[in-house]
Amino acid sequence: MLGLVAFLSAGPPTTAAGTLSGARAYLGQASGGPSESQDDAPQSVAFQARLIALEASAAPDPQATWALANDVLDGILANARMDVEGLEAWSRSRGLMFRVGFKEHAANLDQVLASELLIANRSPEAEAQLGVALVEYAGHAPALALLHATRADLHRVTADWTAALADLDRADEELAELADLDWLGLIAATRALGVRVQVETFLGRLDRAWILSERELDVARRHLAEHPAIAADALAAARYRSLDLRLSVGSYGSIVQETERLLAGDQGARDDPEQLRMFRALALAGEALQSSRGFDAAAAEVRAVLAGARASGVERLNLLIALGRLQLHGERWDLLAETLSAARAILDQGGRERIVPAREAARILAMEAALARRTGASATALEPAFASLEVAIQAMLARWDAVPALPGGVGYLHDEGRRVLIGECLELGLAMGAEERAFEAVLALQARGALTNRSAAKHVDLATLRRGPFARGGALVFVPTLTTTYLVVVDRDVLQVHRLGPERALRESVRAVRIERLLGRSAQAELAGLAAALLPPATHARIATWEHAFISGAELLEEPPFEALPFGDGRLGELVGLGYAPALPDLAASSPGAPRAAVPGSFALWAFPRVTPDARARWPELVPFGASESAVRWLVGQHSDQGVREHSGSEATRAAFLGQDFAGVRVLNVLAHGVFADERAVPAGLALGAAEGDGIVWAADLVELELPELVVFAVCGGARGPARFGQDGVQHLGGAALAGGARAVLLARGAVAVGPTLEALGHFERGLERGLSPMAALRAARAAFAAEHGSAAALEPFFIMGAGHAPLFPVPPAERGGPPRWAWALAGVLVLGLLARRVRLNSRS
Amino acid sequence: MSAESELGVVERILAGELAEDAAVERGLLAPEERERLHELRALEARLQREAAAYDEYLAAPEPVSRRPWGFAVLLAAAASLLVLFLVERGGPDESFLRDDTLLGGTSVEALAPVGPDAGAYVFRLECAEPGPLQTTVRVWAAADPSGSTPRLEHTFDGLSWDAGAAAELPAEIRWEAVVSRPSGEPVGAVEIPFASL
Repeated sequence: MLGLVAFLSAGPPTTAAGTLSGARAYLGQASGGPSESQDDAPQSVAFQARLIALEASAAPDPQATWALANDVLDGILANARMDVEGLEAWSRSRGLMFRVGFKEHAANLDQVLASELLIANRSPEAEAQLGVALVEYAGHAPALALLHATRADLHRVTADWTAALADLDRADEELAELADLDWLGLIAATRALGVRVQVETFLGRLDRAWILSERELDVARRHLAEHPAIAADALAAARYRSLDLRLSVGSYGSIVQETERLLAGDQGARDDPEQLRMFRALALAGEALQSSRGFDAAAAEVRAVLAGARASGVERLNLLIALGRLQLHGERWDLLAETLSAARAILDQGGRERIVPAREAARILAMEAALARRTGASATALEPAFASLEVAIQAMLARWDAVPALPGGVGYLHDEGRRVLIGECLELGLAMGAEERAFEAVLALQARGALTNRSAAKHVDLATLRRGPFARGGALVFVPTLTTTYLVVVDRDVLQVHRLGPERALRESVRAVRIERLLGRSAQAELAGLAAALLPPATHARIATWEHAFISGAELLEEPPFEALPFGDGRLGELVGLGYAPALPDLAASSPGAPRAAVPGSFALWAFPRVTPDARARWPELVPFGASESAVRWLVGQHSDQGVREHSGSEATRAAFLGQDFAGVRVLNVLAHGVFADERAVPAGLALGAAEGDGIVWAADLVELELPELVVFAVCGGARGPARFGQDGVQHLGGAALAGGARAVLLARGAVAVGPTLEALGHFERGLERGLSPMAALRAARAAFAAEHGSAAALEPFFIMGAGHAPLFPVPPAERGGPPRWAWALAGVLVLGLLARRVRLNSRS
Repeated sequence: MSAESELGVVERILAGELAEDAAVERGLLAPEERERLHELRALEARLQREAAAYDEYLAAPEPVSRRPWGFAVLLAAAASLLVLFLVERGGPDESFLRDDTLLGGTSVEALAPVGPDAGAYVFRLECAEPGPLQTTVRVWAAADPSGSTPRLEHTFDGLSWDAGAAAELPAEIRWEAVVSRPSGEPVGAVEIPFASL
């Protein structure tokens, strides 16, 4: 109704005479006067349209004419009669407005009409109508902006994300032409922002969605005095989008607070109490599920909203899903059966109308399966439900495949509803003894990452992983949901599914550790608590047998510091080689091959570049390096390789780096300042030198290179980037290096200092030359650092990403077993002694 | 900068590139460096004496049965001296391994609290993180630094908050602030052990 209300509030045109004459002319052409069928069809929208024009021509003053016309149009909309007659009526009204010169009003009618058609699931007609209108309004920036924004919304609903983003860009271009927003410009601007918030929320780019949502609220508030009614409508709509976004990120407390404030009388005239109650009920349900209490009270709130008739089909489905989850966890089986029956009826109705939302359909299926599972159905009886759920998940994933590969990636798993589906798959797997089959759904979901999705890894299965990355290690895969976090411990021989606490509880534990660390404290107690929450004792025996462990899904828990978790007699990161694999299928994307002996030039080092004045101007914290030459000599000296290709100081420039041929290099080390530019889709960069410009190497530059198999970014925050849950690293330098051909990357999430980094690199590179895998070499570096300094906390930000489980170089002959070293040393001394004796005897003779 | 020019004054004197007196006259040799120079010269002399003794030993006829042991003892002595020399000399300069310069920027900085004329606290931070942020401030009385319950805990949008009359805080406080994303994920934290109006 936004568009209509905006139309009503725009006020009468000041040249109403034009309307009247236009109306007369129009009626003369169109119908010749009131229809003789008036008595037969007094509610006919066609008749009402004619009435508008007639009344408009007869009314004594423009104000009265305008008010009357609006009343009639409101009546058409309230009847929701977008049938053939309704369309005709609307089209005539809109045409009248356009012809008599009120283009703004006509454009507004166009967007209302398109929106109504969209709601009625008639998107082809809406698109056709918008296409015609866009031609008609050429050169009229506010109208074009509004129509592009409306068409973007249409594309959003039909899941054509590329087209939606293109139309939003066009809307922004038109809006950029406007110095000030008139009433139509305000509608266009807030609609464009609102659609973009929804698109970005769906794409899991929540950081962008937050910023845009705040901007939308701000634009509406700033125009309340100038255009009170339009701005009030825009503000109400912006509030709903903000509430919807908060639902997406699970910020339930703030929703309850905000809706209660608004419902208590603080709302604007345009706020819809029923909408507010719906958000409040959904938030209360979320809070109850998070805390595992208050199920009945929350369910009562949801039922009260459902009793109202206003919610749309999808809204009702979502309310029923929330209600069903409360009943499932409150073990109200009979009530759950009723709820699912009601949801099934809506789905069936949608099926008849060919509108079945894939995500909601899959969630209803999952709950039906859960009900059967929890009420004791046998494995055989569960089989059809499991198979249906698998099909539903595949359908949902197929829809996601239409999402474009945007720079910086999109976040598929931000939506907890999708994770719940995987959780139910794992539950069914447990109930049926088919855990491995359930795990395939996890792999299929993870394969939606940008790197994986465009490679052969998209179809990697568990068997493939077991032959490769899991042959000598395993993976810890976390699937967090509101109520339970699933941990899958998987390796060559076993696959265990463990139920951990709710995602919020685990995140709170991670946050407690992080806050203590940020404040410079040891966080011993918090780390112990986190270890107990993340790695239950039942998992320890298996993990202890691994050479390496891949961590997957941890980004959903805000990256717990696994390296520092107490484990056995030490820290996990000092006992097991750790690597992070947001998408396990990606590990099999490139075959590591057998280790090959290092030759001169296998290692390259780009270190201590001279920060450019331009970079210093933007990032004043980038201080010049001291003692860099001796540090470089020391680091080069840590290698057995006598031919390390070194570029430091003035030689380490962006131009030289981008022009470098890395053929023959197998390990590329970059030790430099890291920078962060939040306006970029991939904000992290490397500060190299330059004769002119800022010298920064960005992710887009790395993708274009042919990088060696292992890349080391010894810089602050190389892995900093926007949260893209379910993405495989394309939002930071790690993913960029993998896209540029690297097999594995060593990089840091947070701040690292020169000294500890140099020392860590020394240990790490020696480990590689000793035939250790990158994951094992980092473990050894941590252990050596901890042995020397008492703690490896300074190295905590570093982690391996990608297929870092296979050694690059063979074990040197000296380390391949045989007699112990002391025996060789003793033998050497004896030989030397004998030689010395022989020399002495010879010299005397 | 060449490797040669990186040699310290002491090393250049020892290498014969520079006379000690000249260095003193030109003010290049600090007293402590001169002391180190003398120590190193004494050590050098000691090593030369030991080397001469070893040459003498090699020249002298001894019973064959004692020679391997004697050789081993001398080898050990030489090794010990070498170790001693390295220890005395301080080993290669690896001070860069203690360099705590960050390879990038910092995240959160506290610029406050500042006390405006009205006598209220203003808590203000700077943060390099993009996007909407919220801050939780906890305040204790400075006189009670180990108090488990803060005197004030307040969460606000953004990075600045004027406590004003909302909080009757003591004139001397300890406070900490945690900056988070809207989702609650902390991105930075600072602790200010003491602040006063």
